[in-house]
Amino acid sequence: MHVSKRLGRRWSFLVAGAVALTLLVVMACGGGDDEDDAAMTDTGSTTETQTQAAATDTTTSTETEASAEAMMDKGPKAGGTLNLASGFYSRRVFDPYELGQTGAGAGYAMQPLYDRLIDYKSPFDAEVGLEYAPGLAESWSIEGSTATFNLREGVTFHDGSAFNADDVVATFERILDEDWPLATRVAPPLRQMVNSVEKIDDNTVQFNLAGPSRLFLAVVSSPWGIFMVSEDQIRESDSSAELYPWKKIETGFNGTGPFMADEATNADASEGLAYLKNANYWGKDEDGNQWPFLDSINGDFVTEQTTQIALFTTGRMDTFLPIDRMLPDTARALQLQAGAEETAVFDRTSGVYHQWIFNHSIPPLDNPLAREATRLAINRPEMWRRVFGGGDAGRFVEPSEYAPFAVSDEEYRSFPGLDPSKRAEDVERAKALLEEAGLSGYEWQYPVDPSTGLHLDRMATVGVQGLNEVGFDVTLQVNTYTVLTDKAVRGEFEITSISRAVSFDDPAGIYALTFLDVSGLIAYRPYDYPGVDNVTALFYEYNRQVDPAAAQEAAKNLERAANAPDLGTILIGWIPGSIPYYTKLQNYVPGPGAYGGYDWKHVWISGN
Amino acid sequence: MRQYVIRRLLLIPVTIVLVSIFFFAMLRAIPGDTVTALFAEPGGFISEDGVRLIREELGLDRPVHIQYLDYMWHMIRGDLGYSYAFRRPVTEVLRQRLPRTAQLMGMALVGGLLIGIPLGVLSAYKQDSFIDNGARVFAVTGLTLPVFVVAALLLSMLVRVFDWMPSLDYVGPHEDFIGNMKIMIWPAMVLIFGEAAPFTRLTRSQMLEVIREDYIRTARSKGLGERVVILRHALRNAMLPIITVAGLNLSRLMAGALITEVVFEVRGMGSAMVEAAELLDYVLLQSLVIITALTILVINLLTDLTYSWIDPRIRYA
Repeated sequence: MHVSKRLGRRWSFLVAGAVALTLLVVMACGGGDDEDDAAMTDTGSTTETQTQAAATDTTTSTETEASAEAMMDKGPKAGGTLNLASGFYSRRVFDPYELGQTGAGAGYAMQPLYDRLIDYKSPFDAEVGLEYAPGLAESWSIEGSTATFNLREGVTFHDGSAFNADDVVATFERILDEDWPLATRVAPPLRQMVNSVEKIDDNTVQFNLAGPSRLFLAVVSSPWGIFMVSEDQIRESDSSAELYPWKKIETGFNGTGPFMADEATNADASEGLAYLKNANYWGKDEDGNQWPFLDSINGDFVTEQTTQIALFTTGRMDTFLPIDRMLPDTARALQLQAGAEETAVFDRTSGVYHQWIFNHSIPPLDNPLAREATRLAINRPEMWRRVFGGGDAGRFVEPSEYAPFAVSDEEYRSFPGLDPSKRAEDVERAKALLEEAGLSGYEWQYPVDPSTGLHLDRMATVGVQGLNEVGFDVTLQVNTYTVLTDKAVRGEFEITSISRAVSFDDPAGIYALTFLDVSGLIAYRPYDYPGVDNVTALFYEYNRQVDPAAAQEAAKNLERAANAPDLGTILIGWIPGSIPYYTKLQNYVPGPGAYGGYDWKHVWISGN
Repeated sequence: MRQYVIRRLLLIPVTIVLVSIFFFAMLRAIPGDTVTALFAEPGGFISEDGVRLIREELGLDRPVHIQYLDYMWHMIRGDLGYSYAFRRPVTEVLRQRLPRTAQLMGMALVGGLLIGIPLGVLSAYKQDSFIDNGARVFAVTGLTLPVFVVAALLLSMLVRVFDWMPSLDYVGPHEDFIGNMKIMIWPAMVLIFGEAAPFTRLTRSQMLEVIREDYIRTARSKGLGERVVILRHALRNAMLPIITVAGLNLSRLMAGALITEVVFEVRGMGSAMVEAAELLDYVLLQSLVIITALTILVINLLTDLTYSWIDPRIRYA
C-alpha cells in the first residue's frame, strides 16, 4: 500500500508535468489563425512528401532545374502576399543614397520601391548572360563620350507627381556632387566616369562622360544602386539657407517602383517593411501582362538564420536565400522541404575572394624594397594548401571537389607563383632586400577580422608566418569588422587581408571599403589591377560552365593577378561555389548576382 | 529601517553616475564610433565630409567630458537623446521594447521560482529517490546548457514536431492576452529552464541542511504536520539565499533574454541592445545600460528588504 501510494505520487507528478507541457503546447498552437491550422493539418502530407524526397535524395541539380523550369511554364497569376524574412527588412532610412548604415541590405529592401534608368532582363538567363532591358528609359544610346537616355512618358511617383528629366538630373547631380557627403558605393566609379548630366527636354537626358566606358551602363543599371528619386525630395528649395544645395529624403519612400511602401512602413518600420502593389506601375511583361503580379510583400526583420529556416520550413516564408554556408544537416532539411510541391531550388554561382591589402602610405611599405620583400614573403604554395585546400571543411579538399574549376589542380600548381621549389630562393632575396632597406626586425601589426571565415584566419596566419620568415617582426591582431574598418578609413594599418572581395582605394593609398560581388558587380569597378584584366576574368568566370575556354582563360588571369608585381592589392584567389535558393515563387530565377534575385515584379506565388 | 532605505535610495543616483561614467568611458575607448560602425557594413560608403558632418550632427566632435555632461543633463530632464541607429528618440525605442523584455523576464523569474523551489523542496524531501535524481538531472542540464542552445532546440522542436512556430507579429498582453502568450511562452520557457535550474539546486541543498536542524526535529516532535514543518519552518529558513540568488541572477537573466529575444524575434531590449552595439549607437547603449543598472539596483534593494520579511531576526538600522 505504502509502495503503491509512493508510486502513485510519482506518477501523478509526472502526469501533471506532462499535462502542463501539453497544455502549454496546445495553448500556443491551438485556436490559431487559418494559416496555423493549415500548417498543422498539413503535417501528414508533408511527412509523406519528405519521405518521398528522402527516397529521391540523389536528385541531380539538372533534375531540380528541370523541375524549376516546369514550374515556370505556368502562366502568371495575380494576387497574394509574398512573405520574406531577413535582416534587410529594417527601414532605418528613407533615402536610397544613405544606404551606408545598412549596407547592401537596405539596397535590397529599397529595390521594390524604386526604378533605375535601365534594368536587367528578368528573369535572368544564365546561358545568355547579362542583358540590359528598358527601365525608366525606353531607349538609350552611347556615342563616344555622350550617353543619351529617352525617358518613358506618363510615369508617376507613388505620391502621384510626374517623373521627368528634372528628376533624373537631380538624382545624378546629387551623386556627382563630391561635396555632398552621402552616396552609395556607385558614387566613386560614377564620379570618375561622368563629367556632367543635362536635361535636353522633359523626356531626354544626356550624360557627358569622361571617356568611352563599357562600364557606364553596368553602373547605371546596378541593382545596388542608382534609383531615380523625386527632385522635390532632394533639391533644397532655399539654397541660401543650407550648406549644400541638396537634402536627405526624410519624409517617406516615394519611388516609381512596382511596389510602394505601406503607410505603416513609412510611419514606423522598426519591425519590418511592408510593400503594396503599385497599381499605376508602368511595366508589363513580354505578353503584355501588367507588373507586378503580387498584391503585397511582407518583409519581416529577422536576423537569425535559424529563425529564417524555421519560418521557411513552417511555410511562413516563401523564398529562402541563405547567404552564409549552411551545415549539411540544415541544407538537407531545406532540401526535404524543397521537395514539397510548389517549391523549387535554384543553385547560383557564388564565391569568395581573398585579397591582401597593403598600405603604401606609411612605413614599412612606403619603402619599395620592403614592398618587394613582402611580395616575395607571400608563401603561395602554403597559401594554396592551407587556405584553398583546407577551406571551411577543415580538411584538404581537392579543387575539383568543391567546384568544377576551369583548371585542374596540377595545372594550377604549375603556375609560376605556386612552385614550392622557388620558395627558399624568394625568402633569401627578401631577407637581403630587408637588410638593404634597414628594416630587418621591423615591428608591425597585421589586423584581421576572422569572422568572415576560416579562410581569412588561415590566410592571415600564413601571411604572418611568411613575413616573419623573411625578417619582419609581425604580430597578428584580431579585430572586429568595425574596428578594422575604422583603421582602414583612417589608414592606420600596414597590411590586412579581406574576404569577399573587399578593396581599398584612395589616391593616397587606403581609403574606402567597397564590397564587390563575385558575379558581375566586380565589372563595375573602373580600376584595373596592374597588368591584369581580372575584371574581365571574373566576369567570364560567371559563365564558366557555358564557355569553358573563356573560363580557363579567366582562371589564368586570376593567377596572373595573384602574381602581379604591384603590391597595392593582391588578389590571392577566389573559391567558387554555389548557393541554393529555395522558393515557392514561379518565374523566379535569381540573378544576375550571386546574391541577386530581389526583383519581385515579375514573379507570382505557386498555386496562387 | 527607514534610515536604511533612505540611505540605499540615496546611493542609487551615485551608483548610476559611476556606472554611466565607466560605461561612457568604455564606449569611447573602443576604436571606431557610431559613424564608422554605420558605414562599416559591406556597401557602406561615405566621404570624409560625410563622416565629419554626421559626427557634428551627433555631437561626437566635442570633447568627451562635454559629451558626457550634456548627455547627463538631458537625461536628468527626461530626454534620453536620439538613437541614430533606430532613427527615433530613445524614449520611443524604450517605450516599445522595454515592456516586452520586462514581461519576458517577469515570466521567467516567476516561472523559475514556481518550478525551481517546489522541485528543490521535493527533491530534498525525497532525497535519492527517482524524483530527486530527475530533479538533479534537470538542474544540471539547465545549468550547463547555454541559453542559445536551448532556444534553438526548442524552436527546432516546434518546427520539426509541430510544423509550427510562434508569430513574429508581437501583440501586447493588454491587446490580446492569448495571442501574446502564444508568442511569449516559448522564449519564456527557455529562460524558465535556465532560471529554475539554480533555484532547484539551491533549494535542495538549503533544504537538506535545514531539515537536519534541531528546530525541525523539535517541530516534528511537537506533532506538527509534515506540510507545516516543511513549508513554514524549513522552507522559510532556506529561502534567504534563494532570494539573494534570485536578485543577483537578474543580470544573467537579462543576458539570457537578450539571446532568446533574438532567436524568437521578440524584439525587446535585448535585441535593441544587440542592434545598438552593432552600430555603436552610443546614446541608445548608454540609456539601455543605465536603465538596466537602475533596474538591478532597485531589485537588489527590494531583495534586501525582503530579507526582514522572510527572517524577522534581520533588522536594518
